[in-house]
Amino acid sequence: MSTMNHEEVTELKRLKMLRKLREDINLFLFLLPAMVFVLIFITFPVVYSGYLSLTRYKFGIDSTPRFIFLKGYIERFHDDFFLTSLKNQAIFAVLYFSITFLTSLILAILINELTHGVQVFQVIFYLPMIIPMSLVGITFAWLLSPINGFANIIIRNVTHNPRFMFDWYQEPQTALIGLIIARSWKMVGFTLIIFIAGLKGINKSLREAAKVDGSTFWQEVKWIIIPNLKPYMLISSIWILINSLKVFDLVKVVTEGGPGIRTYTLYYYAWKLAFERMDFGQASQVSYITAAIILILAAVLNLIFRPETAEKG
Amino acid sequence: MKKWLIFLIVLLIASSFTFSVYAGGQGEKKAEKKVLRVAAPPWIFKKFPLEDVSNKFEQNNADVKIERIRADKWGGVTYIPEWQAGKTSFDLFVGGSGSMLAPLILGGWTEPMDDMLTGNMAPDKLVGGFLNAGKYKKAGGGSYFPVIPFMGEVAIIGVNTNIMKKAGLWTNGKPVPIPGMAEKEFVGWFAKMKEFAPVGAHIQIWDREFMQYDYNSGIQAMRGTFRADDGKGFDVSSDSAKKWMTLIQTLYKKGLAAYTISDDKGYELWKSGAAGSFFAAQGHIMELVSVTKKNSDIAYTGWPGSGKNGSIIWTHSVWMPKVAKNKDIVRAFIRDEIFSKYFGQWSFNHYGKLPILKSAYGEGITRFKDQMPTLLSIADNSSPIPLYKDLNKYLDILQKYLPEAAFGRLDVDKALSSVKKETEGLDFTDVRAY
Repeated sequence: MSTMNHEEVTELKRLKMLRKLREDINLFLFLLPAMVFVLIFITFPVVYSGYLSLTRYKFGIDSTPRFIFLKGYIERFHDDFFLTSLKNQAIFAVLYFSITFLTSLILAILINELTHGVQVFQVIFYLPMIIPMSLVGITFAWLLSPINGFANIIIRNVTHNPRFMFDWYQEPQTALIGLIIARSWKMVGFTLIIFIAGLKGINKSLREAAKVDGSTFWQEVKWIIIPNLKPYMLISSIWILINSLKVFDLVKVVTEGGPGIRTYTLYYYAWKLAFERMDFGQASQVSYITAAIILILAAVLNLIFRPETAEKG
Repeated sequence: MKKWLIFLIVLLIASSFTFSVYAGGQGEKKAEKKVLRVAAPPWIFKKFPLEDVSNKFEQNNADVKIERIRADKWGGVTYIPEWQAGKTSFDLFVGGSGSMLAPLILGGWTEPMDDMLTGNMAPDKLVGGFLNAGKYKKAGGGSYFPVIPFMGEVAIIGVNTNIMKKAGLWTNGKPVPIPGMAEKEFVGWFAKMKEFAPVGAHIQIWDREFMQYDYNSGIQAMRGTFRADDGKGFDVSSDSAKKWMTLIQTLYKKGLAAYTISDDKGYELWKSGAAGSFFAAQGHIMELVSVTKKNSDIAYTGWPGSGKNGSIIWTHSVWMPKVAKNKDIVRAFIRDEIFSKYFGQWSFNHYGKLPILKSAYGEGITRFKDQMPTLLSIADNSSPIPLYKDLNKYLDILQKYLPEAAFGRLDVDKALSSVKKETEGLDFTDVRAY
């Protein structure tokens, strides 16, 4: 067996390093287009809007942004429009989260019990997902419209009151609820699919053993299905949560924030600030506050549904 | 034989070269054509014969090629970054009302167009009320035209003549006017239609845009101005303001009015043919005819006092960015085509948009000739909405209170005093010059 002298070892090391360097360069070159894209279209806008949020800047009117540090953020918490948007957003998020989460969970559990047609139901409930949100808005606005709306026609026929023309999206009590229902209708299918995937992953022997022990269906749901679904609940709830705060298109298409400002949401208000009032500073503040809320709530959900909890059962 | 073959091949190649050079020359000639890029929002393409007049202009100006660009209705401000870089993606924009143009005019991004107001575009040839809506204050004093209105709209009451006749509100081929602003007279007029108008005796749109016209038109009709005496926004303090808003609220509370918060819903109610009257732009009122196919189904009237004091008008304008290319061609296109009788009359005859050219109101108008005097008498005395520096924020605040008061969900005094209180700190510098 021959032994390598010092020079050979050094040469070998050098070659290894060269190979590693070449690999790193190759990797870097492969990643470069994506990195450039992320830098230009994600990192720069995020950083720049962060900077703008610390300034006063009316686009097209002010020549340059004026630095005010956190003053703008403090002002937002005294801004009636922002506070109303925040309140509406909270109502929207709570109701939308509850409706979407519970409906998709219940539907998934029920569909999973079927012996036939599981995929058919999956497709049926998933179909609204492929419709653009703006179109969902237009459809619901039509379904709930005062004259030709499906809901009003049914009520007119049932109550025999030909003058019944309730405008669901115009009344303060129902406008926000109408938007929540429209959005939930579209989104239920996605979380349903996630839950069904989770349900399929539950070991059948667990439920069979429970059955042998004489457990009822609801006891199985409570003690086997729900604990084992927790990782899927986490994914779904984060997804629903983000969606519950990313509300713009539906409001823009259906109510334009009305009646009054009763359906203003955070993103809608940010859009109005940016593209109607041209106030990029204030718009950035609202956007950053929204992002912070999403991050905090996602962290809270992570604590509630963290996978370790599921493993412990 | 071989030589002949070689000769033929060489000849073929030579001819193809000659042809290429010729074609290239032609191409260069084509490339030499000056390109005029005309941008407009989709509704302008629908409601104005932009394609027709572009083709005509190209025929009359062989060295010009027109590119038509569909632009966003509200997106004027999105062009500022390219203008800052000295570029523009269009040379002429057809369309744009006050709130869309405000940041562009405030920022001084549009080319002054005063020099165009000569010949067929001389002020005496144009409807003064509409033209003045294009006049703005100059930074160093005086006024100028950063945009030129080419069409106008007036907020007016349209009535469904069939319902008016059934309600006994039709006489001598005209609607019986609303007798006055006293509650009994005012509300009584609409009450007569209630029985015959299942979707509402009166329709009004209270969205962010039209809410200004709803609110200000009545006050303008009553006292000749809708502006606050201290110059800070609209009048929310006078007895007329309170009286007007109370009347609006009473109509709703008594079940006589069907107010909507979106324009689409307002049009839907009106076009059902089951509404008595509709306060809207004259062109939108005419849209009922697109359903019923009978011009005689609509007529116009105004709020009491509007014959003398007018209503609210708004306009859409042509404008060019300062960095536009071929400005002479832009000017020629505006003068020859946009301000042609054909352009204005086509739109009126099809969509009821009021032309700015006085001559367009004569021969060539095929519809609603009998309604023209009412329309023009109200339009002539009307005022545009001021273009305050903080107009967009002001509108947001108004949207919080005015529709709520109209729908009876907020006391009128409370609504108006809240507007006054919340708008104290806004910049009410009006950039319009009148």
